[in-house]
Amino acid sequence: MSAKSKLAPAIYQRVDIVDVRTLPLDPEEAFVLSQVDGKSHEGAIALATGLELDRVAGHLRRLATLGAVHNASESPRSATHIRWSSQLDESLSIDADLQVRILEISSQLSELDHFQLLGVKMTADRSTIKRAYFSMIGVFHPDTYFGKRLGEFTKRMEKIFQRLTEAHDILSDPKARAEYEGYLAALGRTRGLEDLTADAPTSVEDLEQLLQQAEEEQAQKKQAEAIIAASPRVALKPPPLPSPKESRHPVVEMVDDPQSRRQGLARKLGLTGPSSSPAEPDEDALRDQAARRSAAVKDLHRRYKHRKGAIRDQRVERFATAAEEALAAGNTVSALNTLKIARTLSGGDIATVERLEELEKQVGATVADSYLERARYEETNGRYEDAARSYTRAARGRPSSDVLRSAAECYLKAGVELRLAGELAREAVQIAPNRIDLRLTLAKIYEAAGMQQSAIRELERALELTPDSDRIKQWLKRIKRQGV
Amino acid sequence: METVIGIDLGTTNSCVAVMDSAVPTVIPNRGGYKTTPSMVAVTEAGKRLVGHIAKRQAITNAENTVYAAKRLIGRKWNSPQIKNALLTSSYNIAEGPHDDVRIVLRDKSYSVPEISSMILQEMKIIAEDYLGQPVTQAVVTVPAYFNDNQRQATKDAGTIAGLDVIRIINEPTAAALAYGLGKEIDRVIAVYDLGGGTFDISILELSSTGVFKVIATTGDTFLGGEDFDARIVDWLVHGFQQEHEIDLRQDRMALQRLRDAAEKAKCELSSVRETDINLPFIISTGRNEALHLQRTLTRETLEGLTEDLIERTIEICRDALGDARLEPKDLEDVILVGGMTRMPAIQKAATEYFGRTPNKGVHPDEVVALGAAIQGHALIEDKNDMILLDVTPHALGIMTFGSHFEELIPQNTTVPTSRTKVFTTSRDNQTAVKILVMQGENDNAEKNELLGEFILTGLRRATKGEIEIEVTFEINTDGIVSVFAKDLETGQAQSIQVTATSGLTQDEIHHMIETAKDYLVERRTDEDFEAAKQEAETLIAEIERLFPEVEGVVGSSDFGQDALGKARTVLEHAREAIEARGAAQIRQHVDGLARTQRMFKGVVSRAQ
Repeated sequence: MSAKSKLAPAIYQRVDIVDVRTLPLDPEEAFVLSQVDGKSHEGAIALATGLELDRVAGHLRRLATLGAVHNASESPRSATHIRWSSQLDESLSIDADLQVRILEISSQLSELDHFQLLGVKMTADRSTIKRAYFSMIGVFHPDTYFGKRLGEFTKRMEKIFQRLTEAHDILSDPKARAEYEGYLAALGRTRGLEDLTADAPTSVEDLEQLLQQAEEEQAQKKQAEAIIAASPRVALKPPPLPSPKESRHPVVEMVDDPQSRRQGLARKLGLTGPSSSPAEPDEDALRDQAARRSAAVKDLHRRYKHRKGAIRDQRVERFATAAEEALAAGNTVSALNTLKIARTLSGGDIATVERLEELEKQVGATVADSYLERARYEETNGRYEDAARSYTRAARGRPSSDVLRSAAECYLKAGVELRLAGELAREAVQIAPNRIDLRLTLAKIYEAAGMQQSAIRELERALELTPDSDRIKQWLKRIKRQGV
Repeated sequence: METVIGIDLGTTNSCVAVMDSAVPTVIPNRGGYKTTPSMVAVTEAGKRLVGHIAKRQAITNAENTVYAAKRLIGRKWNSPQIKNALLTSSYNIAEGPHDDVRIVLRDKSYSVPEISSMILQEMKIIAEDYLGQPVTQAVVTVPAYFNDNQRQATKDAGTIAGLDVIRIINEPTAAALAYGLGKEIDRVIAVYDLGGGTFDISILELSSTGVFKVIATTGDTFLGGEDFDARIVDWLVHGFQQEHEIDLRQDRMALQRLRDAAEKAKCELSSVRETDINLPFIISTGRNEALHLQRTLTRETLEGLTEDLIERTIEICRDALGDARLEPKDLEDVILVGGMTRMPAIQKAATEYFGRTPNKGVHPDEVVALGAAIQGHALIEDKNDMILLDVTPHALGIMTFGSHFEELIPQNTTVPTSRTKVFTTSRDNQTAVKILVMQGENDNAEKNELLGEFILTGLRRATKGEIEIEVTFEINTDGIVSVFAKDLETGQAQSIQVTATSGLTQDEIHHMIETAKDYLVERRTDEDFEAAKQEAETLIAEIERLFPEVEGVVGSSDFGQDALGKARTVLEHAREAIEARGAAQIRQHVDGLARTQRMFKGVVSRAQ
């Protein structure tokens, strides 16, 4: 490796997780660091900084030792080595490379889906999945290193092994795999919604940016759709929303940018050019000119506002249509995304708001299906709390007493959020007051929460609906006995 | 590198194997047999007998001969299996101090792991004799359907025998290892294992990369060859009762003879169509009149007697395939393991159910020990390229309010694994919760096996259901179960490592190890002593035989008298040494005896 680095000039890359402000650097080193971009080699940095090559190379080596940069022409793993250096344990009988691999995968276990974890494509067939699984087992099963000192790594390997096995077991069973793929799709759709609510635009600036991004996205999507028109497949992960810090493209011209506005006005008023040469203007003329200019400004401002409004209406229209289209295409995330923008843009125009609300309801109903799908998967896999949350969201999109009841039951099964479970069950009862099962669910929750009186009340109402039920009678008897 | 032996500790027979220059090899015992009866006896003189010798004297010493101890290991005194054993055993079973089982042999009480340790010790000695070096590490197999208590008890037996049991593995899995070794194939197979006492079925996936993954396993720990024998015994007893109105079960010796005859007849019927059972003088009547038992058992009769047992194994196979979500046609091979699978009716049933002729390439009695040796070798090898992925044969969970069993880790989960669930308090103002760790499939917790318990205290007083407790179950690579409970409000936590109760405390095990060591020393010197004694006694007899003649030739001279006196002293000392039972002392005198004998012989031959 060192022979290789002698042949080719070293290229360095910054290590993102290191906060350079905490490093003991001198200005020259910091200057060199500022030029490190992962592309320029030592020579190029020397040219850009005007420093001697040897000096630059020296600085870079020191920066590498400090962990601020790593030599990208060396092992690609060295960056991760630096990242995990504090957790490596030399006294163990497994080498650093393996330790880093274990730490790296351990840290990603919750984010990787089963396909990513096994390192296979979503289209991978059963035998490919098995091959990937069995070969990874050879690396990550603690028995491979039986009797060796593994320290904390045994536990980590066991965790990785467990996840690998889960991935294998699900993906190699056609039914479980189909369910999982459905879940991933639903998760992708619903997760997009969660991201959206989390990063709701707060300022006009953010909004404008979002707008532009959305437009770009729409355009890209149109393009992509044209290409893959044959089989529209829902993206597993929605395109991430831009974080506010990311690439701040110059926004639409008419924003309140004083500089550009002034220049624009000046152009419009014909104030540029030869006439602007400073002559000795008389006072009246000056006053007149000022008045004219003021009127013109006002006029322009009015026209600007009008135009802005027109453009805005146009945009609202465009986004609303885009939302409708997205909804029709089944891309609910995109629909809700665009809808949100349209809503923010619309100001408060009643007709628009109504239209948008109607649309929102439709989107909500579609999203509800995704949530429902996700919730069912979570429930069958025993993740009751997750399931309860997904059911609740589904019910928010399309209110249904059954879904509300499922949500409540899941909270009960998970043994958490009993208060919330009660609220959901009560809501369900309100929708369908004559359904006995809903009342029984509510009673069950009351009982679990130790609210005997409420449970009794609910059971009595249920009994009114079906006076002959022995089950309810016995239940009542039991609670009353406990109460005493 | 240290050698790890693989031991198949069977209900009726045990077998030991080792990797001999990368070839798994079964080690024959001193009698030349590849399997050793899992029998232990104590003679009238207090001598311990293990294996073939124990089996040979079983009829005359039925009350003090233990067989099928594996059926009792790790069981609670109150379990139905023990109740059943009490009725049919010819040896005495008593209640132990920890709701466990003890076996009483000549007024001395032994725990079941202790009895098993004697068998393991015997297997260890067989291996040491063969290898010519001490052995300390072993992989021991158990039925796949054994619960944690039974596994722990087996491990304890190993510890008492002076063995570090580096891993307990399942018998069918071991068989699959031996089957798949060096084959480098991707294949889904079933292992049908009907042994002396237990039945297991395991479905495994073999990968050419050296991974053996168990997909599902299930079984019955009380279904095996012994039950087939019992059916024959019943048939014989019933017939005898009808004829003579005498219940042979009342006579322990008669019962033992019947059991022996039944097993022999069963084995013979695997190759012949009918066999005679002849037990002359089986019992004497009150009028001192001897009765004989003489009957002919045909294969058809035997199949009729045991039809339901065979059907039961097929039902269990059906369950296992269901758990694995497979059809019989998905299987690419079927291996039959255990001596019982020699029975034609079983081969026929398996062939019919699986829709294919079972593999004939494995030896049903030896394959499990071979697999254990392979696993042991793979584990300690520097470059381990064989990985065994086994599953939990039973679900694990805790007991919740109302004796309900709440499962955390389901049956057939690949280990290592872990699961978490949140529970709440069941009473108002409850400040402590008791976590009862259980194993089994029954919704009613009390019907499952209790593995351990602990208490989480310091909960805030609140209405029931408000306090949340997170319970995590973890099974590590070595199969050790750990349970953690955490109060989600305070973050306070409690945990235990579930050391399943084998019925023995650590102190007891420690004491037993010491006793076993003493016994080992005693026994080894015993053997030494026997050999030396025999050598010395042969020489003494020879000298004594020649004595009168020699005396006649040389007795007249002083020199001769002197020599005769010295010879007498030599004999006397040798006899004293034999009396003192010291092998080393005897050896000291063997030389003197040999010289005297040579001298005497010389005198006699010259005189002639």
